[in-house]
Amino acid sequence: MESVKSRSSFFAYGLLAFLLALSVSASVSAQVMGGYDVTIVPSNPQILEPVVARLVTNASCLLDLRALRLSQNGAAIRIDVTPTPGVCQQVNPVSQDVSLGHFLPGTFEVTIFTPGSVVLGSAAFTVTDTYSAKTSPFPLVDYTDHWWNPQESGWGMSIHQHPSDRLFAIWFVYNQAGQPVWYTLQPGAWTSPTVYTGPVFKTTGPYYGGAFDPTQVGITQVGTATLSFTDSNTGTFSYTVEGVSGAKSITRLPF
Amino acid sequence: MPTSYRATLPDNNADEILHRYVVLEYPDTATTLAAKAALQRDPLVLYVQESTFSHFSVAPADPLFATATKIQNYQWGINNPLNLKNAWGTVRGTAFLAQLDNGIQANPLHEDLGQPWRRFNFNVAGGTDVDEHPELTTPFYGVPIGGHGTHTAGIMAAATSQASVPAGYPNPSPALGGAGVCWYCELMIAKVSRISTQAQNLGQITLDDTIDIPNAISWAANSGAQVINMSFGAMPANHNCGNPYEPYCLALNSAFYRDVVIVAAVGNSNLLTGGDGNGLGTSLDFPASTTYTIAAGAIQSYSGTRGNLWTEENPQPFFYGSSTGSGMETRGILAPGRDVLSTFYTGKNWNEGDRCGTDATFPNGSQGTSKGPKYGICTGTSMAAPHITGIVGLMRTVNPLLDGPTIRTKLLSAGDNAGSPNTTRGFGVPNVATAVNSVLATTNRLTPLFSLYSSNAWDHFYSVVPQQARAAIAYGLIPYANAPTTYTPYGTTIAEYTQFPLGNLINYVAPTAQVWVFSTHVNPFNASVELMPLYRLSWKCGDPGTSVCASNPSHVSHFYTASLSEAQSYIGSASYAFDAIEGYVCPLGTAKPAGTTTLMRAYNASRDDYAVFPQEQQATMASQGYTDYVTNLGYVFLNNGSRPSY
Repeated sequence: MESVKSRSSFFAYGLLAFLLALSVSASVSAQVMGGYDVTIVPSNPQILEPVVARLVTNASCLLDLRALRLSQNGAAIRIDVTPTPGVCQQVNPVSQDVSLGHFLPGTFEVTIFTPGSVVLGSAAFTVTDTYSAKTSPFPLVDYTDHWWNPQESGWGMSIHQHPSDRLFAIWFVYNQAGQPVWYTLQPGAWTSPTVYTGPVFKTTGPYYGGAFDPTQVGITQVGTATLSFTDSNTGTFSYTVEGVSGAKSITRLPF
Repeated sequence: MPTSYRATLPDNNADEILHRYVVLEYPDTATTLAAKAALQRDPLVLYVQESTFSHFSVAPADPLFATATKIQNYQWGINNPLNLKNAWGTVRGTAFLAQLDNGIQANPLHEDLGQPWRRFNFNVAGGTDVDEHPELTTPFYGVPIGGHGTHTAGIMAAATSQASVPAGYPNPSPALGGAGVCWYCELMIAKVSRISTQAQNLGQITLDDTIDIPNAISWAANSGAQVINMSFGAMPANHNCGNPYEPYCLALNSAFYRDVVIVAAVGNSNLLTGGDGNGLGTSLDFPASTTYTIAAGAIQSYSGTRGNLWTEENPQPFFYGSSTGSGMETRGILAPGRDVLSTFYTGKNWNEGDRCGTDATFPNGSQGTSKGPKYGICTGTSMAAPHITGIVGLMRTVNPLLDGPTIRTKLLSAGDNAGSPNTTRGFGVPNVATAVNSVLATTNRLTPLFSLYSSNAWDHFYSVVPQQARAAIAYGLIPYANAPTTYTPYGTTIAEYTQFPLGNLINYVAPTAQVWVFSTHVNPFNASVELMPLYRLSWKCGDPGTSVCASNPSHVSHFYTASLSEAQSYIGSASYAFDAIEGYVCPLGTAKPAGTTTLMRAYNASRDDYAVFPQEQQATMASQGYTDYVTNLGYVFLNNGSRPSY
């Protein structure tokens, strides 16, 4: 009889341990287990703004995205992943971003599938139309790229155009002594959907080999410039910089 | 050597020193060890050593054991670096090894895993189905995933054949597949993974180290395992063994103090130890990181950037090489882990990118094996651990009474880096013959056959394994009766073994035995005739047949025989199942060795119970109704309270 009583208390103790374990497990599962927690970045994308899916998982078999595939059918965006074969073990949560592209206004849903079409996560997002609210001229093309003149290889311009229509460009050329120099175009304004004009700045600052002291950075306006695009791939860069004026044909740099 | 020549030799000349040795013979181990101690105290004696055992090298007949040109086409790990061939001459292994893994190929049973007679199955999801079920994983992985558990099981205890093993032994013919480290060991299969049935993860293989793995560890310890193999790891950060309520640690702690040796893989990358999986691990995975375990690292067959420590030249994510770190210098050991050939789930792969499967070639250009589809290669510390588990099984077979920490110490001491253990190689690669001989030096291979009886199961039960006896006392013995059943020891106490592991947690009962049997097959009385295994079989109400279940539904019947053919007939006609080999007896038909007694077996029909006893107890047993089918099993030593000598 004593033995039976002893056994019962053992099982009772086992049950207590089990309940404790459940509470631990519950807190762990809140971190996503076995799939992806999907968020869209930015959360409220605007028309043609780059959209990224941020995939967070703490399952070891879902960390390796080398075999990822993307596809779209209407508003349905599909991400196919191939889980690493073997046991899916819990690891520290890992976040990985996957670019989905630029979208026109509408509502989209991105879903992640295994090879056998098991759904590992999903998220929806809505792209808003900001064109209708704009009152000033704005570009209808994203001119973001590296630009150059194929006949004058050696100098170039890097243009970054933000979804807010603001533009930041770097013109890297050489001075009279043949030394490299670079100028930035910022901030300017679009005078038409294809013409941007604004001030040109030259900056100085501390040597990159030492500790960077922001107080030593100096910025000086040295002129003005205009980018006139004839189509989405070609244009003219006109400038008056440090007393020198000129105009250059530019085109996107192919890779 | 002429005395005149000896006179020319310096005192430190090897030939001269060897001439000065004196060989003394003593009648038994106890006297030998006493004499050794006395001689060591004599300042005129430079060196004293008792005889250790050397045997002819034993080469299994299994076709995959023999050396082949390509490393992936033969069992290089079992064949060569561990010196197993010289250990098998002493012990082939009969220990209880718990395998916590993905299951095995159970349906149909893999052809080379029939030897470990599996009645000891456990599934954390419920029931006793331990198949790896690769077909269920396809929705998640795109292809069926399986084979990890089948592979590690084969390393530990694949059916092994040898030409010189006499009739009456489990000796598969024709020899199939490969050899296991521990030939006759009992595999206790615990399927600790789950294949998700939820729609959002359908087919995913998961390990729950909060609930499932602790449950499996507890099952193994409660059921009488002597060794637990854990070819997996978890994040050490998730487990705080300083917290007395942490379930994983509690289970490890409980198993450790029940004298179960725990072997754990150290890890294949830094994935679980704070890294992103794209680098070598510089600390050990959990539970290899805990003091409860032997930490198993992996070697490869050739020397690379870290010597023979397994290191991938073109690593894949999570697959870089054998982890190193703190703990290796105190508990770490190495075993083959790269391109290990073993049983595999037929035609399946576990991870092609990591060269684990039955494919002849793998996607990243690495070579596979041409020995598929029933056999495959795999690489990782997961493969090193079962080598070590099998080795511990051999050591615990030689001396079942030796406690786990001592077994661990003796194993580590047999490593090729034992002179300067460090955080990289630990104690190095063990010489198993040395490890076995070091255990052998603690015993004369006689071990008590613990005797127990259950009044509610109407069952006599005998085992040489303390953990099995303890399982019987504490409701853990498999097969489970249909109602909670406990056993009570009977017989004479044993002076050198007075308490079962963690005896304080159960109603104290002293270990008792009526006889001592041999722990391994070597016959000290007649070198040309091997000792005979004492087979243990079992049956319980619910199995085919009726027996006395109408009057006692909790009935269990254990049956013992030294005859393989008799065992097979009970399996075939009476629905018994093999459980294990419980030591060895001197065979009938040879001269009865001096000092031995006859081990007998008799049947009580009213209880459907077989009892095993020394001849001296025959009258007593007859008075209890054990009068039917009286037969002699072999010659053993009577237990008079202390270790017999011969």
